[in-house]
Amino acid sequence: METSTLLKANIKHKKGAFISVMILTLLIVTTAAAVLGVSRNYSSAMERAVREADAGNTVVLINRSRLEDGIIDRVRKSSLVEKAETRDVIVNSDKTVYPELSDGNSYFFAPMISGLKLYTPELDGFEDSIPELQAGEIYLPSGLYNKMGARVGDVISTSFYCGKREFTVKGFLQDPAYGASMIGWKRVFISRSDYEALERDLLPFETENRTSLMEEVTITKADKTQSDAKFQRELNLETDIVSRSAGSLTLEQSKKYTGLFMDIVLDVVLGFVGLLFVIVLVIIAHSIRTEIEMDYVNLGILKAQGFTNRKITLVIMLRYFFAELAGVILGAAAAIPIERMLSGIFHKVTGILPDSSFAFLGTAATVGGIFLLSALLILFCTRRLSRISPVRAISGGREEIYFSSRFTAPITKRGLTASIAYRSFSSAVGKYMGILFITALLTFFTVTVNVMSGAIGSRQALENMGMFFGDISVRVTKPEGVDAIPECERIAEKYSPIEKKIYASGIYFSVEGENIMCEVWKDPEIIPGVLKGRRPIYDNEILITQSVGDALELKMGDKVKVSGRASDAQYIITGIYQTGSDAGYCFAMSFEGAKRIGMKSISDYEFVLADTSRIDDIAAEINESFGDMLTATAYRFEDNIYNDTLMVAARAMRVMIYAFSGVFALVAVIMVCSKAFMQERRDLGIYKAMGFTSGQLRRQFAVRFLLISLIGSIIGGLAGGFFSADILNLIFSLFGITKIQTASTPLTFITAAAFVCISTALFAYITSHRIKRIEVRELITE
Amino acid sequence: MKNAILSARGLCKSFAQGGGQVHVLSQVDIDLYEGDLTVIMGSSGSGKSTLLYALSGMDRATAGSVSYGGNDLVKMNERSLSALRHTDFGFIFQQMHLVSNLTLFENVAVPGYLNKERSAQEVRQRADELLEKMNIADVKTHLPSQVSGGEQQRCAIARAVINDPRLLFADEPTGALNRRNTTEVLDLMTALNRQGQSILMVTHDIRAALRANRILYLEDGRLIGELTLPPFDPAEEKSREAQVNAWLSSMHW
Repeated sequence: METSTLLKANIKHKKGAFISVMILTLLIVTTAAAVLGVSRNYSSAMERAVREADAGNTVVLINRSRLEDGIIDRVRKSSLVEKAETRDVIVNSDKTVYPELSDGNSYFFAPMISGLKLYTPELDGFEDSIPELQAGEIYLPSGLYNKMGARVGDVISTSFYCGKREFTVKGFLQDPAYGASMIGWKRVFISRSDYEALERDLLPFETENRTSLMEEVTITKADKTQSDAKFQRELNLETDIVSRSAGSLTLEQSKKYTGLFMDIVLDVVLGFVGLLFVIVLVIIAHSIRTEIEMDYVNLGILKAQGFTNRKITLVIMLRYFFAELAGVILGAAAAIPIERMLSGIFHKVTGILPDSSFAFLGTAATVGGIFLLSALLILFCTRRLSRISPVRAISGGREEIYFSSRFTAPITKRGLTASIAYRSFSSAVGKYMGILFITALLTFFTVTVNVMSGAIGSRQALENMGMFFGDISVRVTKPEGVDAIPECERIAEKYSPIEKKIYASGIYFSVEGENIMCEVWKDPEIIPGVLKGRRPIYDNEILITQSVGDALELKMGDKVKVSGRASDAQYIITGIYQTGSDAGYCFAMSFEGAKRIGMKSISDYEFVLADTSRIDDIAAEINESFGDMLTATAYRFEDNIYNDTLMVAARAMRVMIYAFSGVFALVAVIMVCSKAFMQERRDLGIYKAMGFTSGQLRRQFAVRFLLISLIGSIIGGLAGGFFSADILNLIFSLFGITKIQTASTPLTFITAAAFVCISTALFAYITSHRIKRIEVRELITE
Repeated sequence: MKNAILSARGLCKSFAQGGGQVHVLSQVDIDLYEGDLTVIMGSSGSGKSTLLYALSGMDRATAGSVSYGGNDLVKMNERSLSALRHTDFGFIFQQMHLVSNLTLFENVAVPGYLNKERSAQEVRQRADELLEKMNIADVKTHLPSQVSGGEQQRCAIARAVINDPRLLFADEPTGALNRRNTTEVLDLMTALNRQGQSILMVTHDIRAALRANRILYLEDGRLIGELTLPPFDPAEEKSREAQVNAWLSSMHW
């Protein structure tokens, strides 16, 4: 009874702390529950879609003309395989145009299959049945709804070797195998009559180098405990199917690529939520510490009345628990619409319509963690209660809160406000450690997102990380286009000197039985992103990425068998590099090396120009001259990079982290400032009696918090300078970038520090408006 | 004819309490004169401190006027009152009220720094002189918590006069001091008054009242008596005490 009475009184008189902890918990629970909900709902929807579509564990694409007799039978008879299904498809790369944009995807045209679901026109649900396609109609994967902006009724123009074909979009399908906008393979479905006609028309154009008619083999593993990668490797060793294929994709890879964007965003957000919880703990610790200091007399009286330390601790703990509980309830309620909103955003990327259930278990575990850690912290902080002597508290009042500091500075006439502000800080540093720590953490995180944005937005940094960007991109569409490249160079040189020629192609080769994207470079000396070892100089050398090394247990100096479509050869690994292609699961070699296993030509040619002012003219002239055998595109890094998925994600995260930092700085400042204000009420009255105005005293408060946040920002900025790259490496390793090239400038740090400092000072100034209400009369002893 | 430096007319102060109004001051008229050491006495709860703070502009009267230098303090805004506090008025509180994280020297110097007419060097020099005069120069680098109550109150006096105020307000300046410290503080205030400092002091300590040349008696928020005395002379302290005691008795003190 006495505990509940005390608890009620505590909540009533300490509303500030209650509301602050409630708001912070609300933010944390909202974010955590929403993130966990998005992740769980996506996973369950994905699993169901995979089951319904019977997607198999690996899909292998083989040229029909090269399909050896018996290879499919060998696969079907393998003890590793539960079943293998084949399907005729027409593959068309780089020539699907909507409305006039080549999107770089490979499209697999096929008649409709079962197991997929048809979206409603707005992609917010599924139709009950899938209408049969008529001639000239096409079903697209839902990833294209967002990526290409395609809509039902639009006309897709597609150029095949046999000529241009047009299809009307009939609807969008949920394709768990490769329907995501992040995956370069896209299955599209046309009517059987269209398919058969197209197949017939293409047959005369099939050549050794370019082929459209393929067999898609969907294989399901027998041992469900085995990883898809291992299954594919073992199957290849037994049957050689992957080595002979034009490409393969395991279900695990597909899921990884589909959820890549979402995983990165959610991981960063969850990491940030963890950091915010640390801040909440710091605030609770600070609040309890000052509360014990300020309520020294009252606590002494309570003890004199027979309240034990345990009982007082219980009251304090329950008060924070109630605040957290209120935050949990409100946060869980707020999480539902936010989860739906986030799911909607990610749905556009993944192509999988997520479920819409609340992540009870995950949220409950998070809430349990919050309560457990808070309880431990409160127990730790309330140890000080045992030091309160009832007699001393009642007779002597609270302990002196100031001490002589070694870091003290004189009070000066010039800069009076600043020097008094510094004194207030230096004489009670402990009181400000919490806000110092919080500002350091916030600065660290804002610096990290700034570094991330800088790295993604800087052309040089991206090139150093293994991504390359030409100002003019020429893609050969017919074999004779290769012979036209010297002429394309001459056209470009009429407008501007060429600074760098990046001639490279991405092609799938099999390494030790695993189909891996190979970046083939005409000039291997310019391969970017080499982290260890050296570039491949001779035709029997390759570079691998760390993720390939980890997956296949390969290292520098190892010899590996690489299989092309025609033959095999042995190569030696000369180094480790990183690249943004295929989420970093790549290897690289010279064109001379690739020739050994049957590669005939390079298809992609990029020119980096000294003067980029007339790139549109260059592209137009090249297309005019050689448009029938190649396609030239002008590329503006600044225009395009900001539309890149990665950049959009980085910018969204940056906005969110800045907004959260602002809210946390606000709440932390309000709490610390309020406590400081109550502790210093008497001193503020004295300053007023001396002749200080409320404005001067408020500025003094703001300057004091500015000083604290400045120190916090320096610490956070330094920590950001030292550790942000490591954190980003961890995040970007999902994209295959194991060593991020930071492109930090002083502005990277200044922006973050300025944001945190100005917010803190501004909030301190606003919070201290109560100084106006302090009357000198409070100093009167009647 | 003495020159009145501050005049209050019809001064009232009331507080809301328990749904009603408590009238602490009722229609107080008072003039404070240049060079006087005026003491206001009265029983506990008579409104002495309230009157002091209303006269000094530290607190706003509910009604009436407080005229100083042609301005009514009751109508002045916060900025003007703040300026007045660091130029024309000085304050000494019963509980000293030194800023706990400033040294004694800094407590004295800070209000001096607010004065735009003095350079920092002049303020420091003046603060040193005052601390010397108050006999606390040897502890000037100490924090208030590190010195005695008497030393704190002497520091508070030095702080109150750093800007050479025209009028010094003292609210029970010896209320928290022991006998020895009380004498020291009163001697200092007497010395200041002799040098021409006008002082208004609220006290219920007869020893403090003896230093005044004018004593006003307040009861239930009204001034009901006034005693004028010659300047304080320690040699005549006994007879002065008898005279004041007799007057206070007549006031039913």
